[in-house]
Amino acid sequence: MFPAIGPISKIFKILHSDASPAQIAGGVCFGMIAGLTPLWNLHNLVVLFLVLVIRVNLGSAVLSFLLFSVIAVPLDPLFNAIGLKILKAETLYDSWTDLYNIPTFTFTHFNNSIVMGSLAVSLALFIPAWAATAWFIKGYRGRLREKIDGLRIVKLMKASSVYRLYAKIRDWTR
Amino acid sequence: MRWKLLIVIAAVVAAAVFFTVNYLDSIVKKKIETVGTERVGAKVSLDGLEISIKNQSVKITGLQVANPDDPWKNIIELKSATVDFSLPYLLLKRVVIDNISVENPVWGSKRKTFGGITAQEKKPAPATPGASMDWKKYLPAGDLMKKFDPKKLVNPEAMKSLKQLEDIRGFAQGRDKYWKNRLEELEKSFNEVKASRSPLKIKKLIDDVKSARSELQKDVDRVNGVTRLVNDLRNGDIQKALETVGIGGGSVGEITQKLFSGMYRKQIENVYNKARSAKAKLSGTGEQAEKKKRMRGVTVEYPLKNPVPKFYLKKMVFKTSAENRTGNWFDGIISEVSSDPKLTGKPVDIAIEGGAQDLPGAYFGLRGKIELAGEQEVYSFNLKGDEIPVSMIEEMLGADSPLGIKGGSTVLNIGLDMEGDYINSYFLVMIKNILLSARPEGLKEVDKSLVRILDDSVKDINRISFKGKASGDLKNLQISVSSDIDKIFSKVFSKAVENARAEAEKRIRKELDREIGKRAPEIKKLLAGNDGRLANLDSLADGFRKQMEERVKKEAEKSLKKELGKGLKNFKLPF
Repeated sequence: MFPAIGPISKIFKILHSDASPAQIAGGVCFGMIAGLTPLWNLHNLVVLFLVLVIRVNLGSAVLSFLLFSVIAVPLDPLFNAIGLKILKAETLYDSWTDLYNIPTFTFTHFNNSIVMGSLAVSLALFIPAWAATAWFIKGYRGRLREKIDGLRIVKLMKASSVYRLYAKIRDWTR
Repeated sequence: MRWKLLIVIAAVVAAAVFFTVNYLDSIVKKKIETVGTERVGAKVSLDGLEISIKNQSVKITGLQVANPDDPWKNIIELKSATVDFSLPYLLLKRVVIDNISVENPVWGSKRKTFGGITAQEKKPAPATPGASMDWKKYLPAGDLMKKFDPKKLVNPEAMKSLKQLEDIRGFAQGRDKYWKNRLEELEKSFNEVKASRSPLKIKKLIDDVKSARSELQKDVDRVNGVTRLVNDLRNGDIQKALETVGIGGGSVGEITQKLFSGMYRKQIENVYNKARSAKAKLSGTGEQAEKKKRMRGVTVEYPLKNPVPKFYLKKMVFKTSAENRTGNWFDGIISEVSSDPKLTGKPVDIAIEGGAQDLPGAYFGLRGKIELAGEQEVYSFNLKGDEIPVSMIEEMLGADSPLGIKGGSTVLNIGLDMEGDYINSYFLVMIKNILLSARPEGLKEVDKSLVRILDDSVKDINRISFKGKASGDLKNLQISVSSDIDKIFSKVFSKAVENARAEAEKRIRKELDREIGKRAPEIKKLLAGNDGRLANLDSLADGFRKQMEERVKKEAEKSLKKELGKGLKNFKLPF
């Protein structure tokens, strides 16, 4: 139970932080791309670069990456099917052939069905995920934060040694 | 914090690049040694490795690959090798090698250190008997002395000639005593007759002498007759001794059939199993391959604008300098090896020559082309060379072989002429021992006596021809082979037998003559003694005859004078 407190604490910390919903949502979306696609690919270097350069929330990016890495495994068959459909599409065949003949481009593994499928899905979900995340954070901060703080169990937790531990962790992560 | 992270990442990347640039060679060298050792099952070591991305080349020096079956020897050792590869194609996951240049390759070289992958160092294995035998030192004559000892073969009990000599010697010795006594009696009689002057006694004595002389002559004739018989018996005895030697004999026929029906199949299976094992290790099949099969995704291949096979070796050159041609060396060129020969459109071309340390004066060469043609995927392997190639048949016939064979019926034709100085007695005996004894582990001990016997006989033989055909698949392989090796062996053995028999006969004859010579002087002496006696008897008989004639003459004169009276006192007989 105790190792799980860390990520949960992090989530709450992010939700209660001063970072804007857009920044948090951006982090979540970039993390989603890195998490859903196989890690050791060239496009993830681009994602890493963007995360470091653009003002997105690092914490949310990391958490999102961890979460979507777990979700990606059972979704591989779906990614595989989508990737194959894209790679074998007749309208795109010439383009893929041209890309394939560029020596360095093969390092992107674009012609791998999982890479293509997961990248396509994550890019397709980027804007909707960004919008949804930003909307959720706004909603949480506006309506839910006070209600959750008012819950008895939350008060008990705050009073208990669990909360003290949480507080310690919270202070440590600041 | 974001910028700190960026700086840290940049530093890590820079360090990685620096490390790679400066330590890549040693990393790859270590990897080759580790992976190579694991895959081969014996030590693989490199003295040095240089990778040049700019020049698109890799140079290795001092490569030694130990033999897992004999860890004190290397499968291959080479001084240096340079590989010129195409980087763009490598990035396109195509291994295209423009040239591999190998310097001083040696196969089967001895190692200074143990090449096995056990914890303890082991002592070198004892040398295989006959493995380093210098066959030229051993001549047939030397060996014949041990195998065909004339002293043992010339047995007086078994030799008729010697038995006859013994008999006659015994006879002559016995008669010698007899004659001594008889002649003494005759001399005694002579003295008595001389004193008595009796005509009757004289006549009797003369008759006795004549009789004795006749009997003695018979004895002499008998001895002489046996001596002539011994000469005739001698030849028969020599032939009899030769028969007990057992030179030649046996059957050398059906060697080809035995070779390829039993032994060769085992050799093919051996090679096949080793090839499968090596292929599995190199391609990482088994547990590791299972992991690879579980990797996510399907890789879709697209056509290359300049298509090349996945593996394409344009040229591989082996160079051995003259001073290094002392051990097991080879030299030559192999070109157009690819995983898809149809794509390159050129046959594999092989031209290699080499020598073997254990075959003094040996020289082998291998020249050929492998072409794919026709629906049945017929391979014409026309070798006009001097070496039986180690065919990786599985790689050629397997469904997933790099040559893109898709199975089905396959026909393999082989025509091979072997020519060279190394077709000597050692080589022929090696083949004979392998084939006729059908030992699957191969030759361990060469029949040294046979080598020596064959040595002189094979001087003018330096060519053997084989023709073979294999069809079907590995599970049901039909092989038929013909060769002239049976004829060669018959011819060689006939000569060897002839030579050996002549030598054995010479030695037996010499020994028999020696034995005869030992007995002859005594017989000659006895014969000479009898000759002397004969002469004495002759002179004795002459003496008595003259004496008798004188006496008869005197008596006749006396009688006539008495008969004719006083009137003829002064009359003298005209005789």
